[in-house]
Amino acid sequence: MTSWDYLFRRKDNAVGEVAGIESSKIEIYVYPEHFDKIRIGSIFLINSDDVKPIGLVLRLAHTSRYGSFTPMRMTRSEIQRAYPDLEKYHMFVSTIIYTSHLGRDQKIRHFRASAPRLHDLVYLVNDKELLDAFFRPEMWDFNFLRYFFDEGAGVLEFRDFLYTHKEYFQSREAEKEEILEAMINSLLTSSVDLRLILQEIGEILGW
Amino acid sequence: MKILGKVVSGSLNKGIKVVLHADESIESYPIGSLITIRGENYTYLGIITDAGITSDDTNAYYMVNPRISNLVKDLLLKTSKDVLRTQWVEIALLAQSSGGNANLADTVPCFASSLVETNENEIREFFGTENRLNLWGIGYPKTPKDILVEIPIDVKKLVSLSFGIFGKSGTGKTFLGNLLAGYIVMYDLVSEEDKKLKLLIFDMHTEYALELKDNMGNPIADGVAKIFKMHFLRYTPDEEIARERNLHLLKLNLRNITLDDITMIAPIFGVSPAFLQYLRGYKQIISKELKLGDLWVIGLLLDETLVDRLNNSEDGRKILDQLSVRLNMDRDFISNLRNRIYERIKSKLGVGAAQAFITQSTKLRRIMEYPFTVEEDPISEIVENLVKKDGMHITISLGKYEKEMPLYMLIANLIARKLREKIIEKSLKGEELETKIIIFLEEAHNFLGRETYRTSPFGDIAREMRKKGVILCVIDQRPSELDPDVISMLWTNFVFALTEKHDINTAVLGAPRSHLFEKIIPVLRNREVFIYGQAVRFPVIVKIRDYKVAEDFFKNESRKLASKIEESIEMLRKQGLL
Repeated sequence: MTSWDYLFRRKDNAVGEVAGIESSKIEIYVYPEHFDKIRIGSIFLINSDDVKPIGLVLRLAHTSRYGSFTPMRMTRSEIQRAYPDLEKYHMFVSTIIYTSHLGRDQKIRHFRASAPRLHDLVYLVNDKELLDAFFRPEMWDFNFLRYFFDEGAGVLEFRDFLYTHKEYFQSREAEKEEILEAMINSLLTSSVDLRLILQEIGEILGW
Repeated sequence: MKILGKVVSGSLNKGIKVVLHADESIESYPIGSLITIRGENYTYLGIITDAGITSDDTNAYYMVNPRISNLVKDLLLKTSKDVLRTQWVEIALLAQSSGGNANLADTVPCFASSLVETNENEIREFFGTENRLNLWGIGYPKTPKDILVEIPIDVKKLVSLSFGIFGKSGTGKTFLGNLLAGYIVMYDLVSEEDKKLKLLIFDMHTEYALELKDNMGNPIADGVAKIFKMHFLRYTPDEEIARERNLHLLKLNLRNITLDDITMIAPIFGVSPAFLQYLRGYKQIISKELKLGDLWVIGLLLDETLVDRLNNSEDGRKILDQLSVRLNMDRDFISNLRNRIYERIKSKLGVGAAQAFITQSTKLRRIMEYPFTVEEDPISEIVENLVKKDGMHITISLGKYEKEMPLYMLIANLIARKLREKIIEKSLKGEELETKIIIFLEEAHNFLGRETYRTSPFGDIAREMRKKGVILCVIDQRPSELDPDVISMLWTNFVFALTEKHDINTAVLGAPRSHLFEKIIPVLRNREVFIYGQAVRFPVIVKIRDYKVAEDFFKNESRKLASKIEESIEMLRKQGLL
């Protein structure tokens, strides 16, 4: 059993499901109990039938499902006590940018393949082994960032991405030269201002 | 074949632009280096005339941004230098070769033609190979990576027409001068030309006759005339050197000094234009009316102090004796001669002329501090040597007088005039010169400058004597001060580093597409010389071969020649012919 199969083995591991697809942006309905785990820059893997799309979270939204909103003047714990099923009436939505996919051969590739379908289950990639597979399919590869930036992410989203995965990158400090080299190689051709990106890396990772 | 870059733009007249491969370091492409471009139909040879880096401000900012770590900067450079910057070189095309035929470039390589390393075979194909007959290695070409094959200079072509050596002080002119003189001597010995070559070297700093010196004045190698002393007569006005180093003493024969000579050196002494205006009149009075004849210069300069000095030397006393005879005056009264001349000038030319005579003639008195004579005629001896087939090469070395420009000019003018007279005399008799004379003239602008070219005997030689077999090697640090006619007569040019714009323009004027080379000249290093013209197939920058190596070679050859001569003498002796 691969690590990916292990992730998919229980549908309860899913953090949400596909709620909409528009070009490279995929709307994910996030199950309310998982909403707090999601960050800008989190990596989502969609368990579609064939290839499995992967994307980075660009935006998080929490809205009323029926369009109306009533102020309550209560703390979060008071609300939960008073309305234990309130979240059923709420939408927890995350927009991800489709950047990569897991192929049939169980290898990650940082380009897009077929689109997912509505209600395909979505899993959060935060296990170290899975992150390794994502960031370093064969060697360090950050080409997914090109899609991320070119489809709407900016320096601040990248900053969040770094904080989201700071612990992981710091655990790989011994390989920082290879990581940086791969990142620079990928981003030189993207539309983002590389100077600002490099400044963020310096500030957040101390590299 | 490693491709170092690609042709991206340019023209024959403006130069070709080549963008270097990302892995190449721009630091490996010094200006002045030879490079090769492989076109579709031709292999091109070019010289790098400029080099640079282009980068936009954004990219440049990465490298100075304090918020980007040095590690990241290093990685950026390592991974992305081709994106961060473009390295380019600008190339002046010199030659193109196809199927072994090399010609001056008149086409440009195609877009994206490859820049490759120049190899030794290409250097040989374009420039030929030293054969120690007419072709002699002058030094190694400047290339991005060292190439151990020398560029040969065609000595036969070099000595067919006048040539020039230009460069700032200390750049290597004298080393090259000695090297070329050595090759000319060697070529003369090995060639079977009808006319023997004779060198006449005006050696201001005594570095041809004795030793070449470093910048501190310490001797570092023997000069060409010392190495080949069997073939040279070495003259000097410096009595001490003549005595101690066994050189011939050269005294100025005052009888030979002309009006033009005085006119030429007068500005150095700060003599007023009014004096020069009256000089012909002074000469007329002293020479004709007072009957001093060819001793008129002494009359011009004589006063009581000078009489005292003349009385202290044998040559001086001889002069006073001759004056006494010509003036029909007792020697004791000669000191009054100046008053007589003054009065005569005053009555003939007016008070102004007389005042100019009194105040200005004293400025010229330094002439009498140089070794002089009125009897010997070393100049004729020199000239005879130069025109005789079995004569010797000549050096005139100034020794301690090296800073005495007037003395240098006087000697040079006297020899040049006598030589010209001799050649004209032969020519009028219907005789041809048996020799070809090559005159090495240092500080040439003093004789061939815009103001002196028309009056100096060297000007006459440059204009009239080429067809009769006299050529000049013009050596100068200020080529722009030479008359343009002189520059146009130079068929081979050796240009060391120069910094003044007019000098650079003048020095490269005859090179094909000369403007392209102007940028190179100021950045030439010591011993690096830009050569173009008749004696090299194509313009090239060469690091002149180490003179110490050449010195050893010349010494070996000189020894071989000496032993051959000894063997011949011995044989003649054995045969009872000697």
